Amino acid sequence: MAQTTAPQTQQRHEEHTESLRGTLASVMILGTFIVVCWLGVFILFLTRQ
Amino acid sequence: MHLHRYEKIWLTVGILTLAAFVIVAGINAFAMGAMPPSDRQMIDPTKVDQTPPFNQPGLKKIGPNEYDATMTAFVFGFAPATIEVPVGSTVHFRVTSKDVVHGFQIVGTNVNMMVVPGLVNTASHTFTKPGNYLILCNEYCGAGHQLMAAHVVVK
Repeated sequence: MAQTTAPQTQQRHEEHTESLRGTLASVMILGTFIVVCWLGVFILFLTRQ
Repeated sequence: MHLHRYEKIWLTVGILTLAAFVIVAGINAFAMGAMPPSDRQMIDPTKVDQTPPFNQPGLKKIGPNEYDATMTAFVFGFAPATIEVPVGSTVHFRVTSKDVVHGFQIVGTNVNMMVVPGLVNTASHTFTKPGNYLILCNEYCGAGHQLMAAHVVVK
């Protein structure tokens, strides 16, 4: 029983790692979008001062 | 608590971004003097015409290249309707409303505030380029809202 449990856990862990790659990409894309928007507004604010 | 490596990456990036935003906002407020347009100065909105300095709205020179502009907003206009200053002047606008809520925006600058009856709102701007700057009301105030405008002529 103990032998069968260990590989299952590892397999589940690998699936977890793979499924987060897309999440990381989408979080970074959204983050970049927010930072670019913020920089745009801030530069506009500075040039109008 | 177990955190995935990717989670650590995006949490770090997120926290650093937030820290950068807060630091910039702090520098802007404490070192560059950015603040809300009202210092909570009160006025009786029914007696604006009798309350100095709003009984005589206009431009007053207070120093070299520095002016105080006392203005009133009403349906549907601003007093004075035109002010003239030389290039490089810093103008401190002090505005109040005689009736309803109005807006006070100088197009192409960072001056943009509400003009609320009962409150005196202030904003300053240094005009470094010559031109005719439009002041407009950006709060819907009634049927003639679109006619409500004034001008700053910078020569």
